[in-house]
Amino acid sequence: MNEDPRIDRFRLVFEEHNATVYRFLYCMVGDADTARDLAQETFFRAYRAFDRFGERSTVSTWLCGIARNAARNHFRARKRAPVEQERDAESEAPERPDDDLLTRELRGAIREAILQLDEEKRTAFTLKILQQRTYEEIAAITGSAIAKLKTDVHRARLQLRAALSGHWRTR
Amino acid sequence: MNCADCRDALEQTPLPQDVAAHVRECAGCVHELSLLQREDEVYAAYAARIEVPEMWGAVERRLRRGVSPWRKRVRWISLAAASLALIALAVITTSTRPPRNPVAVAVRAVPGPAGEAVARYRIAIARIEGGIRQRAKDDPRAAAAVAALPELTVAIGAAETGVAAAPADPIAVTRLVAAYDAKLEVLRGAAHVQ
Repeated sequence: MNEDPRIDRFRLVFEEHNATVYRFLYCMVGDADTARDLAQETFFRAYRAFDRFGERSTVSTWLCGIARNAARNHFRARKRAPVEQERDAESEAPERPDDDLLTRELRGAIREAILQLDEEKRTAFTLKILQQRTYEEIAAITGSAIAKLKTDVHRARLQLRAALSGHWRTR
Repeated sequence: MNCADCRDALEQTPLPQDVAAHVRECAGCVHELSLLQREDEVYAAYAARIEVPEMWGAVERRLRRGVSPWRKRVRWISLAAASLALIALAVITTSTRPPRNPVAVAVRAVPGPAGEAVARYRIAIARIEGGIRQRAKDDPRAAAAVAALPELTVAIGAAETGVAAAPADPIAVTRLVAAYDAKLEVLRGAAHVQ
């Protein structure tokens, strides 16, 4: 039992949004351990700033904005492209016998292809295509113009389509 | 609507009416739309299959350790109290500690050519006087030297007054240097320094 009711209340926020935040960060950094660390950092920062959350956006959008900043700080600190990081090939769910849509090979190929995108395209693609957010939400998270976001998503799609062309043909 | 405009709009959901109408009549755009939908299914499945680790335990520990408002307040109060205690200790220590070199502190600046010689005497006296005062409780020679110091200090004061009144008077200067020399000799004798 928590002594601090504020932490109890914050846990509700965590339970509702931790999967979204973690998956966003995993797509951004491509490594399970780093994504977990950054997700924890995100919720730590969110807790500290929770009193200042003005509800001008949804909690989910607000948290993704914090997560994006955490990821950017991580990239700056590493001073190298995230694609150079050691990848965790076992961080996704094991293959299921009834899984005809996603083989382990295709999951790995998608992860690699996403990490080949530059940071802005990766962010836009992840939020739009993988998280099904509206462009208005993505603009609130990234601060980018909607027209630019649409261009980034479109180019990211084409880049992924090219990178995964061999996999699409075998589907 | 042409195919290029249509394909730019295919990602919208729901499809605008004019786009939907074009798609119904264009085999190329139908293929493009089905490709997009297929890709989106795969990407959605990919995202859903990313396993989320347990994180609350670590987050909660960090919240309790790092930013509990109550603990933060206690930490600030402790820090403030410690700072106040340090300041008080510093003030008490400074105000109660005897001067390390009473002679040097008490004497006035000596004008004229005697000034440099007096400065050297003061430094030499200051170097050994503290140690002799400390030994005075156990060492009779040190105690005798300490007992003689007030009279020597008074003599120095009188000589300094004379030099201050007549800085170029050789007798006054000689008297002052002799007064310092006498004090230094007494101290050196107690310190066994020749």
